This record gives sequence, structure tokens and C-alpha cells, in this order.
Amino acid sequence: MSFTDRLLAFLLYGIAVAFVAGIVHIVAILIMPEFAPHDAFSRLSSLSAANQPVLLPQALPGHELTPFEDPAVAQAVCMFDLAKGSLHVRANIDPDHLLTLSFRSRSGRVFYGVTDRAAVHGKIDIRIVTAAQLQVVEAGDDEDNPPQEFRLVAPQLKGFVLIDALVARPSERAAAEARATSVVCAPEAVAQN
Amino acid sequence: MATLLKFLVIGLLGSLLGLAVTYYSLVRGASFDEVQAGAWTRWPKNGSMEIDPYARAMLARSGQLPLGTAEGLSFFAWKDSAGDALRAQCDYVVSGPVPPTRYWTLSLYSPSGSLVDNPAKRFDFTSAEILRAGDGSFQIAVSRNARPGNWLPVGNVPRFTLVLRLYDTLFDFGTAKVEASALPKIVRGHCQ
Repeated sequence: MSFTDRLLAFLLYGIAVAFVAGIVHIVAILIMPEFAPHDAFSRLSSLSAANQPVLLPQALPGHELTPFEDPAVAQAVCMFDLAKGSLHVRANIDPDHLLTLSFRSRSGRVFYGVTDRAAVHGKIDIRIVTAAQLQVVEAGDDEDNPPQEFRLVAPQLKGFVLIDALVARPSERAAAEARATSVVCAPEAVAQN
Repeated sequence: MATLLKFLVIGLLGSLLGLAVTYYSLVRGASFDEVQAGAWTRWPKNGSMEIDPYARAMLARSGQLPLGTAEGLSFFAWKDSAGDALRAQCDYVVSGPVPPTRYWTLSLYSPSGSLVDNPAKRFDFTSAEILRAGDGSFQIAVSRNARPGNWLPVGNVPRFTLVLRLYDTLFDFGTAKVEASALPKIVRGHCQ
């Protein structure tokens, strides 16, 4: 075996290793959001409850649920799993106080967000559905009486709705927590074949 | 047999190298849409569906919940306006314009994102509670030692991070660039 042959063989192995490394790297980055043990979804899903949002503990040193939590916000969360039906999110809005809702998928994408300024007649009414559920729900609509709810197709079956109420002054924390937890998250069965 | 062994060695070496590169890229914080404006860094797509895979993997690893684009914008600072790292033994003054927004908050964290305990139990300021001058301008003193006016205590950490969050901005910034001149300056004062 000449020197050139050895060099070529070595190069070939190098290319093969780099090829495997590239594939492993890409796969690792892509599956990380689904399997990371301490991502936001995993941290929140231990706090689940039906029909009403769960208030997250106030962000204090040593008691944060997630890094870089805004201490000036009261947060509540509704977990959802659309395999069991759609999730109806309703909120009565007090226009003087900031309230935001963000809709997040299992893998960490924010697929929709609203603030209290998006309320119609003082109400936010959003139903999270899958594409298949949307067809079923729309088929049942009364054409003369269009639905008031806004239907939102989620990119994944699992996810959560994060509710943020601003605590503009420390004395307003209890009121902000009450506003955050006053949002109603109701799972609704959708007849499917 | 020798061929199988070669395949195994290549697979093993490749996997190790791939995982090492993944770890390094996540620790280093490589992301495709990092935008700098003065002392502040922003990831405009982190709160949207267009978030890139690296940012998503990083957030999954840290557990952080970025603000949704419709909720507001967040800006992170690890350095002052002169480009030097924010250090606890120095005093800083944060002042200047904030883009038009319904509310903003300025919070102080350790570099890894935990709140830093301090005797004053003050971890942030909101635009509603801040003391302002007659013309509406404000100054926030960031220091270990008590300061008159708006004092954001640093606590017992060597380095710290400031996060400015704009809630319900009056303009839709989308992924547009926010100019450095539209954001507060972080100016270093005396160091111990």
C-alpha cells in the first residue's frame, strides 16, 4: 500500500465519521425540544388541573420555575391535550390591566398570542382545535348564527396556554393573580369518527 | 468481521463527534437570528412559529419561556453600553428612551437566569412604579450599595444580566431592527 493509498483511505474514514457526526448533530438538535427532560413543558405539566388555570408560584430567588421569569408578572398555565378534545379558552377582560395569553406547543413554539386589547366586547373566546376537529366543528355550525369563538389550529396535539397578568406595583399582585386565574380553560369533546 | 468493526468504529466516533458539536453549539448559544442593538440582544423569532431549531433546542435545554411576539419584546444585556461585561463590583445607571409601549419592566438576573436575593427584596422595576423626573425621563441605579431614587440592587453575584421587556408595544416591531438609540443606555460609574 503506497502512501497515497493510505492517505486516501484515511480521508475516506474521516469523511464517513464527519457524515455520521453531521446526521447525529442534526437529529439531536431536532429531537431536543421533544425529549429535553427539563424544558418548560415538562416543568409545567406536573402542575396540571382540569377546567381552570393553575397559578405558577411567584418568581422569587431560589423558587423560580423557569430561568429568566419576569418577577413583575403573575403567571398561570392551562395544559392541553387535543387527543381528548378541543380546549375552549375564555376570559373576561378588564381593559385597564395588562393580560396576555400565549399558545405554545409541546416542542416550544409560540403559535399564537393575544393581549387584552384584542378582546371583543370585553371578552376573549378562543377554541384550540386540531385540523380534523376544525372540520367537525365547522360542519356543525349554524350559518345564520355564526360562532363567536375564534378557532385556532394547534401545530401539535399537546401544549399549553400561558397567561400573564402584569403586576404593575407590588401591591397589585393578589389582583393580578386573580385576573390570571379567572381565565377559563374548558376541555370540550368533539364528536369524531 | 474487520469491515463490521470499521463500521462500528466510524459510527461510534461520528456519534461522539456529533453530540460534542451539539453540546458545544448549545452552550455557546449559536442562533441564526440574534440581533444586537447597543448593549441589548434580542431574538426576534423566539416568540413565534419561525423560531430556528437551534434556538428551540437551547430553550428546551434551559426551560426558558420566551415572550410571545404578540405579547411583547425582550432585550437581554450582559454588557454595558461601552461593551464591557456587567460586573457586580461596579455601579451602573440605566437611562434613556424606551420604545413606545404600554408597560415595560427591567429585571436583574444571574447570568443563568435566576433572581438574585437582596435585602431590599427588589428584583425589578415596572414603568408604572418608577420615579420619574419632571420631563418623564428616568434613571435606574444598578448597584450593590443603596442609592436614592430607583435603586435596583445587585446582590451577591460576580456577574449579572439585565432584561428589558416591552409589553404590548404600540408599534408592531415584528422582526424589524430596533435601533440602539431607541433603547436605554447602561453606563458604568464607579467600580470598587
